[in-house]
Amino acid sequence: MSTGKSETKEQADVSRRRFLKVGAGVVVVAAAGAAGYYLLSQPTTPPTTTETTGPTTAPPTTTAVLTPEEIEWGIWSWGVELVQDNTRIFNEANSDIHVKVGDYGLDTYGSGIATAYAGGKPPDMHYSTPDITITYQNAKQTYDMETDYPEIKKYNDDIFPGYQSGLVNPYTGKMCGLFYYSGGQTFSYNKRHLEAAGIGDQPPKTMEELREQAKKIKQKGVVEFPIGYFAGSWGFTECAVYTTMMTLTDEKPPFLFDEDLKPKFDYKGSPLFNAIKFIGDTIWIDKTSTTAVTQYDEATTVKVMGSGKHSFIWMPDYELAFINATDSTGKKASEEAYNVKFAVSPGSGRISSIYRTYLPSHTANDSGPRHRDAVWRLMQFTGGKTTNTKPDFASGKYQVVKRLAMQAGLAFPYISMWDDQEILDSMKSWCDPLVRKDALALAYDFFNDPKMTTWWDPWFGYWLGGFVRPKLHSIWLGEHGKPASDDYILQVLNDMAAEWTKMKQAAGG
Amino acid sequence: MKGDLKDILIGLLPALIPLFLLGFYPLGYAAYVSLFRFNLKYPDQYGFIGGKNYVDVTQMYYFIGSLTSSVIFALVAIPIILFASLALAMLAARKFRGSGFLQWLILVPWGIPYVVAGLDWKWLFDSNYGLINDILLKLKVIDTYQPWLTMQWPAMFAIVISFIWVTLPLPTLLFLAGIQSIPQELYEASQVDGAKALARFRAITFTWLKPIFLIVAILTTLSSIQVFDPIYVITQGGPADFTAMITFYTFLEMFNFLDFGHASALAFMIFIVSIILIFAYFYALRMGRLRLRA
Repeated sequence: MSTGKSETKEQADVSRRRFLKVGAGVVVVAAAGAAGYYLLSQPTTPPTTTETTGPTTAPPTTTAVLTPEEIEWGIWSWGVELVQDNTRIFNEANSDIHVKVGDYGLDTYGSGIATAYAGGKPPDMHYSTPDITITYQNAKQTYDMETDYPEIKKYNDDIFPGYQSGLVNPYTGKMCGLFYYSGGQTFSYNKRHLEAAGIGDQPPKTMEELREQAKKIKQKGVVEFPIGYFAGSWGFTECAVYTTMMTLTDEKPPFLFDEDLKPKFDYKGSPLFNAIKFIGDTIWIDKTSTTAVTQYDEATTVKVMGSGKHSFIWMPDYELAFINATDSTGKKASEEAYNVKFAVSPGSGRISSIYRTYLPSHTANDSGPRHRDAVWRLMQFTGGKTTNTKPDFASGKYQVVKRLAMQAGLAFPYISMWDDQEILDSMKSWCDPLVRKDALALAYDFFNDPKMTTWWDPWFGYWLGGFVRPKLHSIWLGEHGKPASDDYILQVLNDMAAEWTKMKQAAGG
Repeated sequence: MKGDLKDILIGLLPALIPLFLLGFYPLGYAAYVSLFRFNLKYPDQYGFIGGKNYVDVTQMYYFIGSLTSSVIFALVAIPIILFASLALAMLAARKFRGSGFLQWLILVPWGIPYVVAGLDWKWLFDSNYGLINDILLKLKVIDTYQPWLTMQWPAMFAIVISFIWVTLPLPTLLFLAGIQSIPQELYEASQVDGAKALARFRAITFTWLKPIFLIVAILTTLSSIQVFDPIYVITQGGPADFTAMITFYTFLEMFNFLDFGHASALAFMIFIVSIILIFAYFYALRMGRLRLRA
């Protein structure tokens, strides 16, 4: 290189160095300024909302012509068109209220709602799962409808006992809202498989009989893995282990924790121990099930039952409507359409319930009685009894709940709806409604066993990850013996109990 | 000179502002939040706790396992990407019939989002309907469909291959550009001197590509450490948490367990490890300062 080029490079180096110094200085000053501004503007605690419980604190509502009360209904991305149509019906019939639907996604629903709460503006009323409900009830960011509308308690008389606890705020003992839907992890079987194996058309009545029928189906070569479990990596692992546990035991609940939330499952022969072992044995000893079940999500479950891969499974009851269906051209939705039937679960008959509720957030109450009334009216329309969209507990109908039942196959906890012939007729195309009713009547609210906690989700891994879910999968996958020894299962139960206690303490429990 | 500097800074402002807002500010905020007990489930416990989150996350049940998964993934993926992209680039740099098509083919996966690629590979490995099962069965390698994603190493392999598929094109492109900038005279001179192929590669190709090698190593390492989408889509961390890498649990802490303090501590730890690795690369390749050849 020439000298001239070297000089130019040196100059460039000097200016680059200076540039970097000045540039870094600008960035540091800007960062410090922003951080300082942020720290000064930051409250010492995140915003929490106090509950306003009476009309005395509400702003005066003396305007002669009131603008429609705007309320937000938070949903997840399922049946959005149906929701929009229900909203339209409500808005048209209620000129003093304007309902706005907020779609918070499906897989992202939990984080979407969390963001809305963290930002201080959650929807006034939103769909909720038990783990979401407890989070915001614990944080005192929800509103219990019973506080100002004690008549909500009337609905209790019309709800199956196994679901009533799902509407009660454990911190206040008050009813918080109503049901969006409620079903259960019902037992389904493939009638054709049973007949092909020479078993007849009667599903098993006991868990031993289930194992025997499965072995026979396998021996006859009907299917390789007659028993399926909905035990996937995303959601609903509880279906496999809780439901199996409840079917295997005649003990009275609670099964896993005592009233002080101390673990009571960590011994050989406990209901949970037997359930874990039962599933492992069907995979590794009987070979009537497969490790693939640890991958099953909802879509896969519908697919495997629809294609006849399994003869028996516990799965959300509404899934059967997707299997036993025919499209507009008359083509069956699945190979095994109409061969798959409901039955009361073998063993004790108990199954785990699934329910989703309408949860009012603090914003339902923050803006005064008019706003609160509007939310309560919307909630009764969507989850309670109305006549022409107006609240009418005495002689109204479960308008939206009925629509969801008839158009989407969703189940409901309201006993009186099982007398509605129109609903029963709509179900007959894909299931025996009375068997479904009998099965759901035995549902147990395992979310409240004996009550829901804020650490249940990270402990169990209700949706993903967690402590328990991978441990159970590890046993069933044969990573510690095929099948795992009793001692190893006990060790896992001890670990589960220890982690529960640790998380409980971290939560201040 | 001062005037020049001012002009330069003003010119750079459009780049610096988003860099600050989208890069430095979130980073600073994550560092800040990581010092607080900040769990949306327990707003009443909010408060400054210093480095406790960092200690806590290292004692969480998932920490050792997820760290191990991350290391395994990185150790498998990074060398494969480095050498496969270099090999592909050397192949694509050769003039032969169809080399243009090959270059185009190499770039195609670059346009595919990790999530979509993950879904593709998930279905390919599916235990009931997967193409891989079908092919292996027809080749009589297996006698029945296998639930690959419930087995530890096949599941890890599925994530690795999905990641490599999408990640490979950029390093290949970088190497290709580097190879094409090597003066042919150097190869001709080395041939005259009797250098064999391996010596030519070591003395000319590799030496010339060293800065690019460093860039590719850094980029690949960072994306390997930060990998998330294929895990979420293909295995959801399974089987039994074998593929639940540290980023996966960062996500869970943040969006499922709603513990922003833990999640921020994990995120900041990932950042620190990334910085350390970048310096390690610089040191290992003894570059001092990165200077691309003119």
